[in-house]
Amino acid sequence: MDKWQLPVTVIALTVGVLLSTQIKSQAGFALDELPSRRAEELVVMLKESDQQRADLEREVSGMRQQIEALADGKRLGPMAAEDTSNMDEVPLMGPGVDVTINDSSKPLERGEDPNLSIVHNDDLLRLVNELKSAGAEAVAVNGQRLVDTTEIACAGSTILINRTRVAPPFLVKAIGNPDTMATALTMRGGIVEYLQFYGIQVNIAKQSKVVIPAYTGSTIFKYARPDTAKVTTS
Amino acid sequence: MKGFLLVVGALVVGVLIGALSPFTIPPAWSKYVAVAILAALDTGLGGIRSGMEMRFDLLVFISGFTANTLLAAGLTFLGDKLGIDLYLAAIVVFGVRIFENLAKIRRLLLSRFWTA
Repeated sequence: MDKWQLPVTVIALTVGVLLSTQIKSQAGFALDELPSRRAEELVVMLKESDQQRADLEREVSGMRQQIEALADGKRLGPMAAEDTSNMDEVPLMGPGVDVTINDSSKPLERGEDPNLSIVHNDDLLRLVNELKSAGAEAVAVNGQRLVDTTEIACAGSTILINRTRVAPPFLVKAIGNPDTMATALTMRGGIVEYLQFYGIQVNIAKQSKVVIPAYTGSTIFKYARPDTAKVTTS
Repeated sequence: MKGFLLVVGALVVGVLIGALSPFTIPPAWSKYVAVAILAALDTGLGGIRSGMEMRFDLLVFISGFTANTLLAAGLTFLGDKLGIDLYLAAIVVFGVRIFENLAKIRRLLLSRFWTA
């Protein structure tokens, strides 16, 4: 045995251990290592996962339709006319308002904070809250149905609703009494006045028919469970 | 020829140890490990080559491995601090050397088993 073989063998062993450990680890945290990835790569990844999510959403709605078809006649499905417990998962229609809000179109003057002239998640939250307090029964923003778990969160230059990125212009649809809702929004010192103060464009249209899409996100609860004790006694 | 079997066997055993062990490398270290893998690969091939050329020196081998690895790790660290991917320099150099060593080994093997 030549004298080079033992040291090289040791090195080969090291290479093997490092190599497989590294490959194993990379597979685990491929997503954690974002800072060193290039922006284009991230964009591609984002597009891919958006595509995947769209496919999955289509699958979910297809399966819900199947469930409804199977449960037809047993009044299990959310389509049961008197059952309003699961209205989130069906598209709704009724009288209501369409509220369009968009970033300010006024050119910025020197020294003006551009942050003030764009629509923030706070603005949307306030608007939606105002609609709800005016009796809105169903609300959607840019096609995203607002349900109990819906967030309206700031995510850089866009806003996340139902984990989906939405961008201005925002079309807020609400079903309820059109007059009550329009009045609630436009009252003095109200949300519309506040937004217009910052140059944000707000347009309210009362509609006799507003269609609000179904909630397409996950309805699976990981932590919350029904309190069975309460259910049986009541 | 037995020597090569030993080396390949060690590589396979190493891969198995790494794959079966519960350890993983934290994300922040993966760059360093990548450089270390190339340094070790380069050293291993360099060792085989010098062994075939009958001028293997254990001291050169060990000191070369240590110095190269430390330099590569240092470059990676400095690059992290400066915000430049300096570790690419180490990777390129090791990559080139790996090819060179492989080419030498290939020629030596050819001259040993083909034209002899």
